[in-house]
Amino acid sequence: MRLADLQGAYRHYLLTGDSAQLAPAIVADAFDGAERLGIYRNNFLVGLSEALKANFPVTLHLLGRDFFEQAARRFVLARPPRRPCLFEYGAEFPGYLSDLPELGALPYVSEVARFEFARIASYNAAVERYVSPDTLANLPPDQLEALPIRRAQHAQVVPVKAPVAELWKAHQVPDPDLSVIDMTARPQVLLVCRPDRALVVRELDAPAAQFLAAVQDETQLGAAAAQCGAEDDMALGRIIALVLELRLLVSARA
Amino acid sequence: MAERAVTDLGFGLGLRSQHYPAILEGTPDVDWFEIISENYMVDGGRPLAKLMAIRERYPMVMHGVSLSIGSTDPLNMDYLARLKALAARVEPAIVSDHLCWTGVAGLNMHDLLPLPLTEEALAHVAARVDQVQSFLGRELALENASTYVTFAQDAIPEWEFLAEIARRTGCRLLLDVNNIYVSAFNHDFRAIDYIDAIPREAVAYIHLAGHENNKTYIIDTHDHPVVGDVWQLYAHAIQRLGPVATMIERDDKIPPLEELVQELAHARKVAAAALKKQAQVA
Repeated sequence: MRLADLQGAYRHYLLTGDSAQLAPAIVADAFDGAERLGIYRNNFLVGLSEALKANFPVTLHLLGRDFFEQAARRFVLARPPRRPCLFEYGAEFPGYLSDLPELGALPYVSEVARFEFARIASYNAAVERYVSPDTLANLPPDQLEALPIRRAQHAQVVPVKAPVAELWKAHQVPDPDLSVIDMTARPQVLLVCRPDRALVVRELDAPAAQFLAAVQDETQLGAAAAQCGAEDDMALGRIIALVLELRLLVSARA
Repeated sequence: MAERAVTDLGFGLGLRSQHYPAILEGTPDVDWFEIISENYMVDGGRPLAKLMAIRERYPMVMHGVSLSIGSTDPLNMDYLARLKALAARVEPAIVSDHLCWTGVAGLNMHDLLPLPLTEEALAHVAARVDQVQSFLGRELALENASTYVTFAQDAIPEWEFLAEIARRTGCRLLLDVNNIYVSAFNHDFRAIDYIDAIPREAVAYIHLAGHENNKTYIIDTHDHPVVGDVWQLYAHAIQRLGPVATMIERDDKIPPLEELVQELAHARKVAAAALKKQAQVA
């Protein structure tokens, strides 16, 4: 068998468990080819399930080990990784969980997973040249509106309906007590960011959320301000103070 | 920091995040650290800051798991660019990965999958090692992975396969003595024959690790202390190869740093005794 065909057969086996194509290429001796191949399939499934556990620790706790492992293995087979780094694996896992019929009654689980993945993305994002108070102070007033800006890569915005931040916070100690959390749905927009070395989580009010949505792709400061629905200059001032404090903006001119 | 040849680094450990505080707050008796390259292929954040703080104090080696040198997919140039950027930051004594493939048709299974030991695979891997070394502008070291299958079409013993890749490309070898032991057990060959066939000058450094023995076969788990038989094999390797940089690689069930430092002290003893014996024989 040519190397490319052998690797294709191997890939098919790992994803399906069907070794009909591959087994004839394997030497069977004291124990047979299927048993030997099984070691690889087990390593593949367990290794990636463990990687998902590491990336989604609170989701793991909420679902329990058995259910999480089952869901993780099915996800690994349905959406095997394409990227070289394990910490990047699982971007689609929250969406996969939200589609599981068994979790229909627990919609907050996939929201927590989405929040956990946003934390990883924020944690590992590039350090960029952020808009600072000096950037704005040094700009002639007539150029302020036209300042080109976009959201910094570490600034992750996660809209949720469940008390996700509270659930996550409760899990920062061993044996979390979830009974004290009010699980009533309350739509909110969470910001996960890393202004310096530590992650910061904030709940955004509607104007701040709209401002950060407006700057997701490059735009101008004036245009973003007009889109955010801030009722007066004070509300806009609060947004500007927030984005400067948490280094949420990058400017081509910064 | 003045750089030494990789073979002269001494005795090292795999860098694990659980040990950051103990490393930065103490002075553990470790000569160098090996990092898992992919864990630091990030653009910023705390992992890189910790890494560079430790790098200021210790020489480092970069060890990857996603190069997929044996895959029939094209080399992942985005991955190689990230690897090269990390190497520019870390300035490692050497960059290593495994003789294996990790995926095909765009997937990365994150497992070290076995290659058939054929002329076709040999030519394929050698050509890709050339490509990687020329892109990185530096030598690559390839490690023997533990394997659980052999292929009916295998035509070349693994030790000859590795030696020939090193001869054709000038790459170095990372000899994992535990993996040799595991594969020898699983495929019923003599581990000593493997070590004796490896060209001395090609060996960059040695890995030591533990494994789980299921009696009929051994699974390479890298989650136990080094076993007695592997220490003996290591002593044999040092007697034959002379002083070679050596490290202990623990990937799971990570114990406190102190425990690994003690195991490393044992490696120093075993190596010293082997070198003494070598001198007596000579």
